[in-house]
Amino acid sequence: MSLSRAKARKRQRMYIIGAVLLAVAGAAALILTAFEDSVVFFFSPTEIVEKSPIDPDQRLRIGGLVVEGSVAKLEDGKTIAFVVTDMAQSVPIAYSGILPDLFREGQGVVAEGHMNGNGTFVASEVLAKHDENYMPPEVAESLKKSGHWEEIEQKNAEQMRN
Amino acid sequence: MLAEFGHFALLLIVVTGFGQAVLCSPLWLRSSIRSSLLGPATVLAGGSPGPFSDGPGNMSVRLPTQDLPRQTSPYLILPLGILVLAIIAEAGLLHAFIVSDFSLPIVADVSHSSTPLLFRIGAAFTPDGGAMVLWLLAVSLVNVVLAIQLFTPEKSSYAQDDDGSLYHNALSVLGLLIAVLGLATLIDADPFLRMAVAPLDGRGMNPQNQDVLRVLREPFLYLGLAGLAVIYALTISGLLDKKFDRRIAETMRFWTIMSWVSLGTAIAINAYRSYSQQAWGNWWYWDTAENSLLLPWLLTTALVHCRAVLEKTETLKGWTAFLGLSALAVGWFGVYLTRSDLFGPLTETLMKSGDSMTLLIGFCVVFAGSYYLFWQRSDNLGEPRPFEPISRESSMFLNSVILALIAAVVLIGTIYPLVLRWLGGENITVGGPFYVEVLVPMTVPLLLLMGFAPTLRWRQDEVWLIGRRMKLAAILSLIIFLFVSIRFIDLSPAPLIGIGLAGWILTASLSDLWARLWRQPDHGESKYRNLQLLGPRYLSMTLAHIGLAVMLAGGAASSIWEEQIVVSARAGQSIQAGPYNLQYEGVSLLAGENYATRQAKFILYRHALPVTELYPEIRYYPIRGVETREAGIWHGRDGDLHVSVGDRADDGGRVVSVRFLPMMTWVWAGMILMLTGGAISIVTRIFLRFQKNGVSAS
Repeated sequence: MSLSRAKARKRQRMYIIGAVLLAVAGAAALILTAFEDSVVFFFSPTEIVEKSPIDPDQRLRIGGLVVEGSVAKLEDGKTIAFVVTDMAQSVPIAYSGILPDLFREGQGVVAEGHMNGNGTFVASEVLAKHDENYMPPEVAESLKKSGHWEEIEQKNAEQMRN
Repeated sequence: MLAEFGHFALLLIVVTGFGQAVLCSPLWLRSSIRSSLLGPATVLAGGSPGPFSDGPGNMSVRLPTQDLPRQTSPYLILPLGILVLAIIAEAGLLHAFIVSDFSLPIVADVSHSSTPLLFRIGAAFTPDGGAMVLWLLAVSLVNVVLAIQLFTPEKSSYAQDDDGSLYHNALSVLGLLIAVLGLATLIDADPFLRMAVAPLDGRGMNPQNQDVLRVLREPFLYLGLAGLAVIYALTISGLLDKKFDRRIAETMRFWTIMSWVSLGTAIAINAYRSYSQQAWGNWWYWDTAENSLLLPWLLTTALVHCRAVLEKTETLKGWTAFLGLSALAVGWFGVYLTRSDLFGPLTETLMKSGDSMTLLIGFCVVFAGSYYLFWQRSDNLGEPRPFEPISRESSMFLNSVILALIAAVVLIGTIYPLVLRWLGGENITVGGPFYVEVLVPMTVPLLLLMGFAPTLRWRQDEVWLIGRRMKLAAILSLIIFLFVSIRFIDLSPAPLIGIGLAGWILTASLSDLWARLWRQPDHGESKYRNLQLLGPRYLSMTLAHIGLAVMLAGGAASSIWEEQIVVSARAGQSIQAGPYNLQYEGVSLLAGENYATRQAKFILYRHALPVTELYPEIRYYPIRGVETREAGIWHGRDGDLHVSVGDRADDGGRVVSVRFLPMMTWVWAGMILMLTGGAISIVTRIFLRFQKNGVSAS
């Protein structure tokens, strides 16, 4: 009796370990393949200019500051064009739709979309969630890379004081 | 002045928390010092010497007092004291916000004299320090409830060999958690600090948080996390005693459901809020804040199921204990993740309060200790009774493993880009597509399992029996699936599979309910008796499962058949979306309480009959100089109509975005159904507990 019970317990443990290992392996495989093809890379304007021409099928994100005075509406009345910069290079962006609440000239913005053939970034999504002085981490990173982080910081601090 | 009382209360909470941790700890209780010291103390506290010594004589002491609540006064006084202190701290903070005392930097940062009262109170919960005080208050509250629950045990409980040490361990662990959280509040982000020179006015609340639902989210979130703290304390207590058994499972029952409902409510509020803010416009984003809510909820869902198995059959001990520890761990880590700048710059409101280092250190120490304990005790967590691979136990186990893996995927997706950036690697984004690609294949077996698992027998079942039971549901859901996939063959398969699976869960749940109501022999009484016999447990489970199916169907359908139109509209123009017709009536400038709003008016027609009027807005908050956009939403029977307005277009019209989301209403209804299911379980639990005869809720 006790022997068969121990056997049953052992068998049960085997089942459990087998099932868990199978599930974990499956999940790991899924994660790895998904990382390969659905992770979106983030580029700063400088990187975009360096890497161009970029395959128009590749989805990517671009982040930087919206150049003051660059926001304009195109003739169709719905498409908005603006320029994003990291103070070293800049890239024109076209976007159809309603811009988010916190989109403003001189502020940080992240856009997701793809490059078209003539060097314009066609955004399918513009992200500027969070509050007004928020700097998306990626944008802060790219500004730091281009060496203009401090002046932006100072400007923001001044604005806050006013 | 009240703020200083609050500050002092916060300090005292740390001290009393440690006091509770020490006084209730088994080391203290078993030591000889206790007998010499606690004797007078208990007299002072109004009780007689406690019956909780380990001596063999205590049975005889306790027997005569069986019907009275056990002499617990010294152990109730500490939790009650902590609760009073936490209320004082919260009241001090709220008072500072209500009277707009800008000498407190926390008030000056997120409030303003023009902020309406409700949102001044709401603003008190948003910054780090305020959130921590709320969390402390929630944990103190559950601390008292747990003490009461433990010292007035139910008659139905499996308390054969109860020597009271479960109670003390659990209270001791909770005391320790309270002390750690109190310390983290004081060191990381002390909300009661004063400035030497107070500014004339504050910087205003973040306008995006100025919403009634958003204010309600915080109490639900922290109540949920506090419930997880109780589960954690009970788990540790069981591990310490080497008695992680059905008695613990029974005590945990209320807490798992409570946490599940609270966290679920917080998630639902979050989803609805992002949906109604036009700028975000969708209901799930997979961003850090959302994921940190989702993680503990997923593990709690797994725990709800494993706990039931543990209570019924005393199997899955180790796994349930692991989930019990991990649920709080991910909840705590999520709180840390949303407010630390370890991985990158933060939102400005949080920037000031530093890096929440104490919260992280506390997290590491607490959980390193608990997992070490778990590892030490793993030998005692074997299964007393084996079960077959086809049984209720194994299906519940499989289900919770998948849920835990889903949580792991969400955790990896959240942390991986942060870690990669931290290590100085590439800058990547893990967004919706990643989660869809990984989670869709993982949820398919989960949802398939969900259909028939509730009908499985405990211990052992047969495949052909399952087949016979599930015949009707399988055929019906297959018909639904084939119908949608043939009808919409050119669409992407994932949402169609989602609809099929929703159909499967729905038909399986309903056919099981049907079988239980009408196939059972009816005891010579009315069929209504069968309904009573089902019990609240079964009903709430079925309701939650049906809710998930409804939500799944709604989410899948609205993602396939969504229609979006962006036009530049002039007054009087009408816009067609789905079966609806919107007539734009123009924009009027109105004054809100602390904002100015451009409010657009739309008259909504359905098949040429007027239905309602919608007023999407663009609000301008002058204090922060920020615009927010509130969508106008109509929850119709065939779907949601979501309309929002943008800027003036160059041709003189106004940019209007109209979305028709078929069956989106189902998503919200499904969420409400799931939460209602949980709430039924809680309410009947409380109700039955206070009934004199104490019938167990089953």
